[in-house]
Amino acid sequence: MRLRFNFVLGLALALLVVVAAISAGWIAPYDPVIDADLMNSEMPPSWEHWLGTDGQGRDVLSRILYGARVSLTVGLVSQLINSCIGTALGVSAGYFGGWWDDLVNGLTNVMLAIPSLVFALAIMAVLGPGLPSLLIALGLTNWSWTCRIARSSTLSLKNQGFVQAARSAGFSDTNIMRTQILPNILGPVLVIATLGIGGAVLAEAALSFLGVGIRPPQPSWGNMLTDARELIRTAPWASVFPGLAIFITVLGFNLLGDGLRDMLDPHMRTRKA
Amino acid sequence: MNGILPDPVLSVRNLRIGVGRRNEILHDVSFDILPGETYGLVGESGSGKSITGLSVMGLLKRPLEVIGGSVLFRGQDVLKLGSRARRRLRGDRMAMVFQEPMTALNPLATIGRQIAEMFVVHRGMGWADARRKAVEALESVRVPSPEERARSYPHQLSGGMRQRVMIAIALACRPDLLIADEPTTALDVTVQAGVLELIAELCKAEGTAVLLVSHDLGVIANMCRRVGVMDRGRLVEEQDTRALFANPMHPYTRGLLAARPRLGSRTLSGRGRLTELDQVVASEDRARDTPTMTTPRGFQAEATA
Amino acid sequence: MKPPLLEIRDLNVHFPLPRRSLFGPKRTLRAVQGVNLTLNEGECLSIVGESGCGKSTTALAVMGLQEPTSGEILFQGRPLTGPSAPARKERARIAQMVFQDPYASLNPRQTIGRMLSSQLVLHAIARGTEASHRVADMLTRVGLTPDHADRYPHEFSGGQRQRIGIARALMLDPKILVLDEPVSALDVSIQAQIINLLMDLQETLGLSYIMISHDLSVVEHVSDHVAVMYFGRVVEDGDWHSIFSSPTHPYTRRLIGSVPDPDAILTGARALPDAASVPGAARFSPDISRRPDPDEQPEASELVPIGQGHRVRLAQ
Repeated sequence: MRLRFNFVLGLALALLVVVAAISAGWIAPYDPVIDADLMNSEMPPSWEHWLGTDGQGRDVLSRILYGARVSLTVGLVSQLINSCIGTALGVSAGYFGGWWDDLVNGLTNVMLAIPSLVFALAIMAVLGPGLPSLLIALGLTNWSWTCRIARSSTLSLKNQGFVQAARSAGFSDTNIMRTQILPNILGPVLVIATLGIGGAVLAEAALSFLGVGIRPPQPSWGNMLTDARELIRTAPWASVFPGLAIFITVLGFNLLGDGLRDMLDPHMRTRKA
Repeated sequence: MNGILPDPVLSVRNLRIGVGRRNEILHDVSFDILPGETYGLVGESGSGKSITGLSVMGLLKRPLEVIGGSVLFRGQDVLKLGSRARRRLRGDRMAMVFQEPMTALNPLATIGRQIAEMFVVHRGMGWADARRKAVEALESVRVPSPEERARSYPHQLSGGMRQRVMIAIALACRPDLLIADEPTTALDVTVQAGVLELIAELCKAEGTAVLLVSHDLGVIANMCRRVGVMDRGRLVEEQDTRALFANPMHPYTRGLLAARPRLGSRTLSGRGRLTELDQVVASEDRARDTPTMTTPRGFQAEATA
Repeated sequence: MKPPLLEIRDLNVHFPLPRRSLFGPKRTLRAVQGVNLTLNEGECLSIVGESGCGKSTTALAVMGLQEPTSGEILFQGRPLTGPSAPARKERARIAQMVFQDPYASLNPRQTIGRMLSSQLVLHAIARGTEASHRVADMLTRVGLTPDHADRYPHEFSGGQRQRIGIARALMLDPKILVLDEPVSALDVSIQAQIINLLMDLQETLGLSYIMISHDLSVVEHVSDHVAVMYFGRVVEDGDWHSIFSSPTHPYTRRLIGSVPDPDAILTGARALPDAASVPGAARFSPDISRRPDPDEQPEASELVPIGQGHRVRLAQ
């Protein structure tokens, strides 16, 4: 398998974030919440605080490392929920057609018509802030693109010879969807999913920024930005570095998605000699 | 020999095409097409017949590129022309008809507009005049109620009608050379006959030379005076069509002719196996530095029969 | 009397068409209209006609991939359609299909071995090493080698893919093979190999074929019986010899006459054989000088015998 440059770069960036999130407990020099030192607030980057301190004197680097846990959990879990819902609805709608297709289509259009961030905001308002409700809110609101892609790919695959052959050979509809259709739409679904992870990281940041996501003092990239917005002139590092973290994460997953799409193309796969 | 024959419209000399610079897939192909002549290139998929046609038009897509030889069109090497000069030549002096008319036509423009465009671009006509000419062109390719049809979009026409429109576009500026790449492969047999007849008739009337690229020996036999057989990037045989069918010289050609079931060849005694190509010519014998087997122009089947 | 292997009785397949205007009448496309066909054991029945004539829809109905609007399909006297139709798995042992496009008919993400053995596992015929043995046997039988089982479809040429398609169709040992344009997407030299393979398999395995084709020279070479379809109806049918030696319906004559014939260049224009004589002053149906509207109720007509097992459609 030939490795693509964008895949390697994306993988490196994504791995960097994953490693940071997992090992935050060991490598973070300070505690993100307790080690507040108001005497040392708004300190520029130095040997003691590599990325400076925020308005309450907490180490920005430590808070970014711990914040990566929140961002990644939200990104991966909510996108997993989205992909499962979207794929299941899209494949079944495309395969069976009829009233079920109409229903799913209608639902997808409704979902697309409501801005997903507004929808997530509404769900958060009902469930209250916190990580579990964030996962549910973002996991239920962003499946429509996956669903559309899954449905249209299924429609074009449904009448191809190999699906008809599988029907003629007596395979059940669920078996056909699982073994014939799913592997062939996994590429686009995966690409959408990796792009979606980036989107979910952004959405988490936005919701936390608006104060309905992760409650302070628990660090998340979004609420770090909220806290730092008044310090943009006096302590720009407090907002620039969380922003950079978001940027690196989103870029990493997008590149990973592109690379995966290229490599999942079966024509790239060759027999072991 | 050149003393009695007119100068060729198209003269392809030692044309070599590669995937990139190194990987050569078309080796030293040479042939001439005389004014008004219909020349056939026959071969299987991957034999190089289509890229030969595309390179004459200057429509090769990367990574394919010409790595040697020349394409003389009315004595001028078109490979040495700039892209502007080539573009002016295309559609005006040489034109092409593709296999799939639906993808070759613009789905968002009316038929009339697409034909008229040719007159506007190459003849500098006004749109009103060009439109009138477009209707005439549709009439000449025997599209029923051309006035009305000029206002339709490609998807409103049947496959055969679309191919007629393609021919009208290709012949709009009365080119000297028409390249037809599998023009009837996507059509039903009953429609195919009409389209082929149309190409033959219009080109004869205008004296247009035709390079007909096809995998179908039957189509080639009906249309062409001379035919070149291509196999694995080489022109392996070139003959008068009658001579080719009566007395194929290259083993590959013999295999190709034998492998085809002929209508009316089955006898009541039962069905026999067809001759397979590799029974006639072994795979390792094919196209490895094969010399091109040619007969001089005008060589007739009677001479050998 | 033993019933024929497969019998299609008065098959109709209609599709709804969009209305011409909001309050316009309902329109239906009559893709297949009152088709009656019989396939005898060990024979090859070919259905010929141009694209859109209903030949593929008929084949899909036989395969159970298209629900007929009315009519029935009987296998050895047992209905394959309607309420007492067999389940999908049972039906799979009766008929299998070989598809036209060897590129779209193989799942690009399944190895050949997996594709073939999964059928055996599903039908509880064999599993594990026994299944791989059967797969290897089948691959050899269609002219491939056992080690091809580990490969993916994109590693094969068009002709090899079509062999794989044939192997897949034969895995469950069906009685009938439906061949949908089995060679039209292949190169001329490959066509001969696949036709020979199909004829050999038919003899050694005692298969019966329904072949859908527009290539009349292949049809003449392979078939026992031929049915010519035009706009959803059978306009002429008979054994291969009567169709090709005395084509009678004007559409059949046009079809045979339009085949580009390489021999014509040597022997002059090919003369079409004479038509069989038709009783009385009957008129052929439908009139092929104008395109019939598949949305209209067709004119009353019937297939009239004009020779030994040779019938042609005449207006009533």
